[in-house]
Amino acid sequence: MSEDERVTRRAFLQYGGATAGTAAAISLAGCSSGDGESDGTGDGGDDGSDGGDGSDGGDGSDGGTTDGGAGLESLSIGMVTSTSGPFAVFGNAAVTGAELAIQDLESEYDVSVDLTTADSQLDPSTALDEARSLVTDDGVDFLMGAVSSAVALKVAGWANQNGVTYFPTGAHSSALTGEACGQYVFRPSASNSMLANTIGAEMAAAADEWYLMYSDYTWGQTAQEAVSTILEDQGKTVVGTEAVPFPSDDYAQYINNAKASGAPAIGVLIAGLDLRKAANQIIAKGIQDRTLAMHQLEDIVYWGLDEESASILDIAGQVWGPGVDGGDDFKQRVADESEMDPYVRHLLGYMSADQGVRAAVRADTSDPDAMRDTLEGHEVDSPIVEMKGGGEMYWRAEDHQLVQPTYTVSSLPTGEMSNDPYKTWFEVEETFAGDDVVRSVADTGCSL
Amino acid sequence: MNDATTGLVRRTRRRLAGVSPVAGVATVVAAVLLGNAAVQEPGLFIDQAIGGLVYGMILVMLSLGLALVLGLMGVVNFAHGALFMLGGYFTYSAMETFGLPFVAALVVAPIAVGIVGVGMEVVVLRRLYGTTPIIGLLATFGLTLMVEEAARFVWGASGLQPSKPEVLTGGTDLLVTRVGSYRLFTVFVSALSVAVVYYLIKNTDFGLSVRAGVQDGEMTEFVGVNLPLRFTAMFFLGSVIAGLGGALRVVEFGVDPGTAEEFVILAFVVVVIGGVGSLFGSVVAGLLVGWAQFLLPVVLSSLALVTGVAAIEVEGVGRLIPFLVMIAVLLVRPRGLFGEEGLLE
Repeated sequence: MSEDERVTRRAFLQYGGATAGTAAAISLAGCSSGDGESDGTGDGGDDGSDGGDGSDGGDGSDGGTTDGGAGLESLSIGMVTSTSGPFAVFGNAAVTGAELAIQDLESEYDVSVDLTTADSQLDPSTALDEARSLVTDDGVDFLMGAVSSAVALKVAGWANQNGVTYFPTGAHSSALTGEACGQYVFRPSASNSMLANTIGAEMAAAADEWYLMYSDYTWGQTAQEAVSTILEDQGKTVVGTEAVPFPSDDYAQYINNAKASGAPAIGVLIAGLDLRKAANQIIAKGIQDRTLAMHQLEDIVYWGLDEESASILDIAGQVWGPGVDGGDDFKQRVADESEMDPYVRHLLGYMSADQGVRAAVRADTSDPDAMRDTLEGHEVDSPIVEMKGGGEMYWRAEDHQLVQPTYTVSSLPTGEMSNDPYKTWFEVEETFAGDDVVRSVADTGCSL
Repeated sequence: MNDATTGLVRRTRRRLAGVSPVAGVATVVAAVLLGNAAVQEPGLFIDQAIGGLVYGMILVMLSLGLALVLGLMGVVNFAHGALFMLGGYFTYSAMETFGLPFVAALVVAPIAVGIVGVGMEVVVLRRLYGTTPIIGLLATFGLTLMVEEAARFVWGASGLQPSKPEVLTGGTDLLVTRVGSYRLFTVFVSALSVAVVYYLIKNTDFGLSVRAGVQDGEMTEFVGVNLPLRFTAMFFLGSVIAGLGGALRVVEFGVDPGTAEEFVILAFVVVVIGGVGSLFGSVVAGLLVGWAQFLLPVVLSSLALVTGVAAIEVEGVGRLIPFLVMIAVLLVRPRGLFGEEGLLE
């Protein structure tokens, strides 16, 4: 294990941060005219070239039952995610998933894994501060986490600049594996464009005219662009779009606009639990009879509604959910060990920790360059494949996207919704192979 | 010109004498733009006008307690948002933990918030009367942080939402549009609260003595009024109303530790637009902001339709609207719509 190298990297970052802080202090104390490094970021980390030689990369196997990582005795993971605010319900679920993965990995390998979490507070700058602190103060081996795409992009930028491996656990913005991609960032979830391609065909088949409401930040904007492009490519019309502030305390005015548009179908690209507010007000407005589609369904959002209200959904794209045929043991463990029923964020937390630790074990080091080498092009065969219902999963080397199956789902009739042992309110309509929905490398705008 | 006409002209002149030319022009322009929107998109205009009225009444409910404490007691109560949030949490616990029905929770939770408010007033705020408003602002900001962290400790960071009563789910048909039944219930409670508070302040000895105490505390106590008790009771009332707002809100949208800050800014905006010290002003301001938020996008899209200039239809302008209204009102009338000179009436 390249412990010395890790220490050197962190020492460098710490030194950089301390230097910047000192410079700022001196600058303030002396009222100098120099601008110093006023943000104290210490961003002037290394260029990522101090890592291993890349020759100890993986062999294409996830380790299986082999006792990999003879020299790797311990790993520490830093997880920056929303544990407060409107995304807390997502961040906390991912933490639970990561903890379950760690239990499994410690049983499988002779390696001790420690997880340190920090609250991003849904604020990119706060998230960056926390991520930097986890690396420089706590000495974590790699980072994971983030629900918000804006947070993930901020942390990813820093991670790429400073040669820190980062798995943006639950962020879907296509930019992460597009124009903002980087050497050390690996996205374990499906991208917005993958989900848009998943649902695009069904949306096009369902109606000729669509009105799209979207959350007005990175995730929603990229989702709206992706869905609009796919609909228009298939000869359908987007009669109007509405950028809705996120979070918003009221959706009535936007739903009035959707109603007035006269479109027979409405795409609701609203993030987080705000979707629940929007769904409530759609029902109150009485326009639930129109075709309602969601770009990305997270079951928990609908669990806050009664079953009848939840049954209004016609089409949705999904990375995973309790309705997917696979991962029954995992679902049961989540139900047993947490206060929440299992849903996609649990799996994404599990997948991030699983893939990060296995990459380090295969590389026999937590060195970011070695982890990158073992991840790029890697065909996943860990338990997460079964959890996701089978199908091919691999890390595309050109943009660091985990290519994986996606699903379209629809709500079950109320009489068929199940609440025991955990809630299952949606059924899979169709499974898509990752290669069928992922955009081409040329379209990503990513150059690694 | 007959006497009646002469009288009408005289009265109109007298009324217009107090109106600045800017306000007059703005009113005419607003009327033309609204008229254009009503003609261009009549269905949407009606939907948004009623939606704005409903939302405006919700804003009134949000800001009423703040207007009371700020206007009558002169305390810049930043903790209003925290009390609002506690109303949501107490309602959730009352319904989900203790199994109380919604109506009972709607009574119990605000009273519990009122008791918390009394604690704040007696322990902290009572020592700050007569000091500069910034001291009260800082103190109540500190209280807000304490309440937020306490809520996070007790209820966790995740959002919580109790079940909505069956009878208030779905929508109600108002012939020209359809509005959520629960929202109409909120409007009803809001209107009732305004009426009760207004009566209490204007038509009772209690209200009179509090107003007298604010204007001249020494003289009021000299004639035998127990002013600290009156102020505590007034803060209790303001807290109860904040708690009631939170109780109504949690059933529709849930509550989390960020709720306190989310709404307190909006409540301050409404109070400032209405004019500090004027309950009536807060009601008007709430409605004005509600209508502006719902109707301004329609006005812009209709104008874009008529002029053919697509750039007029600014997407995503919604969140700015309350602040734009505040800026516009303060430019024309720095005291707010119905505010008197100085912080207190």
